[in-house]
Amino acid sequence: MINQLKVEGYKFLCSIFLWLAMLFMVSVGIYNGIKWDITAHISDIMIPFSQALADMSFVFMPALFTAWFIGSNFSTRTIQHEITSGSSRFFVIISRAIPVIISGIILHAAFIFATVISLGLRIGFDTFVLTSERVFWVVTVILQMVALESFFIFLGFLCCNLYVGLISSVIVAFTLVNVFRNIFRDARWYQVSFLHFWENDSYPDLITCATVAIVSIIIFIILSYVVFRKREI
Amino acid sequence: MEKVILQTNALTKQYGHVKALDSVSIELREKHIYGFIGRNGAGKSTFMKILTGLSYQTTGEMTLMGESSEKGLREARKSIGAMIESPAIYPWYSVRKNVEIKRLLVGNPDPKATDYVLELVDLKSTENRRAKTLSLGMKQRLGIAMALVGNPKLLVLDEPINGLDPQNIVSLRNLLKTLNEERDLTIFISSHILNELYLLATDYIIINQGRIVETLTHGELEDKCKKYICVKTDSVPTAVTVLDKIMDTDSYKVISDDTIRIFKAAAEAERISKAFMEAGIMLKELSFKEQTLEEYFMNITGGDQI
Repeated sequence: MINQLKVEGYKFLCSIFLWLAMLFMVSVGIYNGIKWDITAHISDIMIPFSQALADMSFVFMPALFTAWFIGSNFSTRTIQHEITSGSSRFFVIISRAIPVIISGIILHAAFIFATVISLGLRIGFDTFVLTSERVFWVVTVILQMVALESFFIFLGFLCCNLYVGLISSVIVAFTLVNVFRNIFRDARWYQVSFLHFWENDSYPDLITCATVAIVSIIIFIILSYVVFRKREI
Repeated sequence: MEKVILQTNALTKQYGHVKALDSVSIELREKHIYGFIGRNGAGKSTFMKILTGLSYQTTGEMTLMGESSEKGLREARKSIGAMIESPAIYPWYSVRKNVEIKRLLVGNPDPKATDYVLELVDLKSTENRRAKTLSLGMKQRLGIAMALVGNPKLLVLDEPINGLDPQNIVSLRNLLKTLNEERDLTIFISSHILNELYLLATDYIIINQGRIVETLTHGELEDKCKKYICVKTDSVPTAVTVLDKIMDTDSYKVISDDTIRIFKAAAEAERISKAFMEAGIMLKELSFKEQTLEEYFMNITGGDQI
């Protein structure tokens, strides 16, 4: 398992796709901060921070990276090496889940911090205050991000093919963000699910969202194992 | 007698109504080189995939290095090096990095192992080249290097000679023989190039339509492929009658309208010739020939091509 994590970690760090994705998210974040109308809004940097934290507009980027990171193993058939070397299929999943989950968090964080920093350079950082409620809110959104990534991981192992995975992840990400958001915006189940990043620091709601996220993570990892366990490679 | 490394008992793989493997029971002993022979679609790759964990049997048992449980088989596979179908390489990494990744995956702590296997397969001079730029033959050699870097006890190679030029085929044959002799490496290799397997393998397992047709040692194969007398005549029925009188019925085989092969009779050419003359049979040809592995394979599988 440690050996697999070392290999996947190396592939993760050497991945040009990840660095390009990060560049994209930082660029979008900087643009977000630059276009923020400071005359129309109270100069509280926590407002754009909160909006960026709950913004799902760019989830297609971690979705694409996940599909590529998992799918390329199948298109090059290099996943054979781990299985023929005696690795369990569960560890194959986990060794890929960890880097892609980290990538999802990093990409979202890159967007948030780029937004905050680019705006902060204009209005200052005095209003950037992280209360305990807000820290818990950040942790909850991270858990929701992890749950969303777990869903994309499941999709990756369900497809077991690079191109099918890429197309599926784009379609799913688009559906989740644009279609579901417009149709189910006011539905409670949607608001607390991993399909939607929670938008405020209200404790009871955060606990519900965090619980749903944790359960979702477990379910999708198990489902990934179920679909991959006896798959012909 | 050498230890049994792999034993399968009634191994069957079914895809819907199609039996890719039908009750396959074989034994592989250590330090042997097994040539796994069969046509396209006979079940060779399917068997090798089950052996290496890339697929699962529908029914039947497999014992590898004494282990038969799922967890035990995974442990036992750490002693296997495999190249199934075509080489699985990381195209954007260098040759060296590909082998290094595999070395890390299999947990071989010796960093010199990478240099060693690259020297063995003659890829040291191209170690910094990106793998996707390699020719097919070089990719095959890279795949073999990746299979060897873990110091395996059993090497499983599925059609490794495909794409190799004659020089590389000879190099690979010599390499595998050296590894078998000097490192007691058991090798399980499938190939369509039967003549090459004849020069390499110590044992042969012939599979056809998912079933094991025959298993035999090199010595037994030599015995079966040994010299025969080839008789060509326009009077085959009369010649058959003569042969029935003077020798065992399983000692000859009618090949075509004008050809008979007579086995186990290399020393009796004179007697046969005399008997034919006395019966008034005109011979177009009487010559000594040897059956090749290809011909033997086609005879026992009833086919005309591999």
